[in-house]
Amino acid sequence: MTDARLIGGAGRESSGLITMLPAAIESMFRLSWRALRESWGLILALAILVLIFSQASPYFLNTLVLERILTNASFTLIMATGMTLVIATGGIDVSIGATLALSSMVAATLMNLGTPVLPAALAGLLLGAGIGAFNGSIISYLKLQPFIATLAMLSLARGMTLIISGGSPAFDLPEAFTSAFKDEMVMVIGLGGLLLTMVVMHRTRLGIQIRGIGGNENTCYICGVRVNALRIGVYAFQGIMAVLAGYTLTASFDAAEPTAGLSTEWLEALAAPIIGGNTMAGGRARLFGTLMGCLILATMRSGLNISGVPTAWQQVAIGGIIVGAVTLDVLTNRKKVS
Amino acid sequence: MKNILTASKICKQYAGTRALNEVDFEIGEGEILGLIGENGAGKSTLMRILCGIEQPTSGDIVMHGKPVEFSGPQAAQAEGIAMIPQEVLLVDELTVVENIFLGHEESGAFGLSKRQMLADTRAILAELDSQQVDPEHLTGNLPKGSQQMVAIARRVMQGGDVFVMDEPTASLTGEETQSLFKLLKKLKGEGKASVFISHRLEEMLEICDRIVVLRDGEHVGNFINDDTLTKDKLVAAMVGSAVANEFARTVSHIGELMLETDKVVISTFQGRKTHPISIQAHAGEVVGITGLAGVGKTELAHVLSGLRPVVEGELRLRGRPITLRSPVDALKNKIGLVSEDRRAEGLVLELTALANMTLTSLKKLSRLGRIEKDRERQLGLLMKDKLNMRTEYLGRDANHLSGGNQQKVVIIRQLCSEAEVLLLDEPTKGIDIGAKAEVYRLIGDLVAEQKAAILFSSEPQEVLGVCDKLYVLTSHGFLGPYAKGALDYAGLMALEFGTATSDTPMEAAE
Amino acid sequence: MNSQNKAFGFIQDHHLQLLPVILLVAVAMTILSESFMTSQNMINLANRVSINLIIASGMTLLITSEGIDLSVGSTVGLSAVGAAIYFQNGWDASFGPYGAIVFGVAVGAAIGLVNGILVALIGLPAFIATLGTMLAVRGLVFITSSGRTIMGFDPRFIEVFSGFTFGIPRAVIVAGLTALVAAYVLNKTTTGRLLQGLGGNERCLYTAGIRVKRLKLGSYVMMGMLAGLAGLTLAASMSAAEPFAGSWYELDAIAVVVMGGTALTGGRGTVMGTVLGAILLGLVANSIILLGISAYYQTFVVGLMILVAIVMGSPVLTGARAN
Repeated sequence: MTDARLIGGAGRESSGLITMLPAAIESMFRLSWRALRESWGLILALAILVLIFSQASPYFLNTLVLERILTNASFTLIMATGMTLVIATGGIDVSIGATLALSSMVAATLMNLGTPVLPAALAGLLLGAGIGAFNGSIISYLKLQPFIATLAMLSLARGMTLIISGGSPAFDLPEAFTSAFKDEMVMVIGLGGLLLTMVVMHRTRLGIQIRGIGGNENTCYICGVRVNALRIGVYAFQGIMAVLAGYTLTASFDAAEPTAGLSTEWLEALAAPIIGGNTMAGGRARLFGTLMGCLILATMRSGLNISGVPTAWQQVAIGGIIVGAVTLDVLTNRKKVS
Repeated sequence: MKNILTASKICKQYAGTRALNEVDFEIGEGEILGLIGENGAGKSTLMRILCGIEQPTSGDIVMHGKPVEFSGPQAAQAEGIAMIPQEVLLVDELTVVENIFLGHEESGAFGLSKRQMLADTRAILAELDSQQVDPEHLTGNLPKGSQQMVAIARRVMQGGDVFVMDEPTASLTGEETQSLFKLLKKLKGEGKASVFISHRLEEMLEICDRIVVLRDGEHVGNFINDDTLTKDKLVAAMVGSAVANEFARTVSHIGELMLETDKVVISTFQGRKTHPISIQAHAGEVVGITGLAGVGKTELAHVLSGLRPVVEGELRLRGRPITLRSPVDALKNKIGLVSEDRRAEGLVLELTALANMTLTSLKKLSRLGRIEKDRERQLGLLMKDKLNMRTEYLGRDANHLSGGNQQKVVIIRQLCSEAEVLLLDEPTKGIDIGAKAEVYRLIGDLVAEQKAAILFSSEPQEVLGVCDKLYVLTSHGFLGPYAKGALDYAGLMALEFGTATSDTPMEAAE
Repeated sequence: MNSQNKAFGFIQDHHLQLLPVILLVAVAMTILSESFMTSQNMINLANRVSINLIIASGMTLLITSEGIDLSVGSTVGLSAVGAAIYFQNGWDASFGPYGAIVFGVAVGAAIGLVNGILVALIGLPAFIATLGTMLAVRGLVFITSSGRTIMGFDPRFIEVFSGFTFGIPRAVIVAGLTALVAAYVLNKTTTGRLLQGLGGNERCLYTAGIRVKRLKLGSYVMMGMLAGLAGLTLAASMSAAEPFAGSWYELDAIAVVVMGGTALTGGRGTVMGTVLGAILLGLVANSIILLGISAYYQTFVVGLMILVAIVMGSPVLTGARAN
């Protein structure tokens, strides 16, 4: 093979720690600046929401409420982080609610059967990764539409959950488990997952290649990117994130519910990245935007609650927000006709 | 000079036709080789074989002194062949630097070496005089020319011994082209070879050390580029003694003026505006629009069928101004398009041939929304008789028809819907000789029924043989009309390649 | 392939591969369970299959044209609640008991129109747009019903959908007619031909000058109306409208359409296959209950059926071209 470089090659950077540090700090600043520039509209929207709700209700600006908002946002964030990557590849995963329920139920059942906490929790995570990998595989190798493939998985996993649980929740979980996923741990997991993913997306080749798949799969293939393996990995990661979200839900209820993740939780995980400026067409991974999307959704939910808006109207609102966000996405990112 | 690559007796046989016949071809170290020939001369096939995209039927390739067989593009790449295809393959959603390093990203101990990649990208863009391109910009937002420069930069960055470029200058500005040439010279200085395909002969003369001419799949000329080489010599070599095929067709009565464009300006896919185009198509007339690739033929067909907007100027049908907002308007005005890409635009592959034929004439074949299948079938049988198509094909899915039969089905659709102006965009692309003759006969029958046909084609022999009147789209102007017989093959080539100016335009066609 | 000159040629689709499976399950159940071949069980089975089939018939047309509608379950709920409110508010005094049918179908049409505008005019991906309306409409169901089950339907209204004609349950007649019309439209009419074309190659239809947007819009309105009809049938069969009515019906409908052999990639659809799919799904669900297996297996089995159907229909395995 020929030498890899003909042109360029200005003196190699030495990769010592001391020289790297300023570079790392500088790149962090640049990233933050870019995130700010891309998401100032979202920050503004959030500020306006907070302003409106604090005017509408005197109880809104209160540490308890704010803590609740942050916890709810973090819970959504766990799944939305994974979803951001799935959407970046141009795909979608509608099975996460069911994956969340099944893995939590399996882990809880194992614990109740006397399995130590760590292996039981790991088994659930493994199951989630497996479900995701399965999704990714049939999408990649059988060329199925992501939506319909994960829809089948939704039904399978939900059914499996009902069968295992017999329809009733699994109670009395070990303290060691619940305390590891409760309260402030939700925020730790949510933010930790987000930061880790940001590092991977910005500091490794995976980031470029994942977005590349969503942008133009064919070009990536020609450039030697292992498209299928990468996509399977992304869906597996989404599976793991769904399980983690499930564990936090289980811990907060102190029980694994067979109906967990059935209502709008997973839809919010889908809506948050799109609100955050990611596009269904793929090719973009704005994780900071996703975080803002989660905060906006959680603020709306708490705000509407406190303002006395019934749950049913909230559901209408969230349905409307999803459609609105996607409409905006389609109208602004409509691919130019030929 | 040492040869990097030697190809000998390369043959490529497609079903029925021979694309390449015992072509010998060699490239030396540090050589810039031009490859020219008319459409269908075999240059693209030869390039695809060199790059491993297609395999020769017979013949040998020797590289760096050892025989090689390219089973696929990767194999060719591994031997040092670097291909820059005509179609720019970039990920629009990634930045310039990400595109340049896609699949070859550089990592250090702390993840991606972004600064290094950025510096390298800047360096290579500077080589191409494209400093104005921000490496952190999304490529999708760049102008077409800059995108092409990025694609070239990526290929050069990944290295190689032989750079194969298919029409790299098609979407470049004059300055960008000069920058590319500077790079080619630099590569030459490093002993790398380049193969360069272009329709622009003046560019060829400027940059190439040697120019190889292909005609009808054969190697017909090998010119060392010295001061004595001229465009005329090259055109003469491309044309040879070939004469236009005469397709037997009785010239029909020229009727009223149907479709007319009055100084219409359109934008091409590359985003350039064309010269004002004025054409007139009468009933009973086959009008040809020809020109080299990328001059805007397909775009003009799209404008006339409502798929693209008119930038400036006016369209008139029977003297009355019309606006075509979408193909629905075109159908209403009885203008029908036979698209260049049958499979992507022309056919519903899941439907039967018959259903595809009647797609736009269902209204008259149905009562209260119910398709009267007997009448549909009768129409199909009637149409089938106009062609040499077997009855059983009518019920067959379009997907399972040959290319020729698929093309007939699409043209028949226009007959069924009683289109009065037919726009035929490269109607004989990829179909065999027999089917071609059928298509020409069909066009003849159409105009005999006092319809107007506009044939958009880049095959000189086709337009010279079939058309009653010819217009030539070139990058330096819109030429014509030329009456049948006013141009011969060499004359047309001279116009297309810009070695002659329009000197024999036909009298106004009234 | 085309069966010309036959009065009912449009029923003779070539997707009968489910028939032996259906017979097998039926025979097995007759042997295994005494309560299977009872008239009561057959009526239960028929009702369940019917409601699903009304939706699935429309879904067949929609999927054939490469669309999809996830909001049908919620529409079923809103139409049922709408009819209940019609009687609750005493509108039948001025418009008669059958006005509720018009009202329910109109509710469905309105939701279909919204979906159609989002998908056909704005150009949203169908599944995400209808996912949003699914959520919003379900919210509306809860708001309009105040989260409670509403009763008090006029018996004449109930009779329309749950009586018997010649000993056949009306629900079966409604569903049968729907399927028949859907099959007729798909195989015999201009609209059906264009829907197939739309699913096969939208670009071709557009280029040829067909009014693609209008066609798409119409298909979603049709779907909404059928979901409305299914909602009325459901309300009548239960004599009540509950806020959860119709949940997951979209999944059942998609499952039977896919099982029946309609391609998810569009272009090819078979209503006959959908009918058989609906019967099979109903039989399996019925068997699970009769055999005393936990009803929880039902969701799993639906998922498994979809998975098997889509894997078997994969472009890779069938050798069809990928989109």
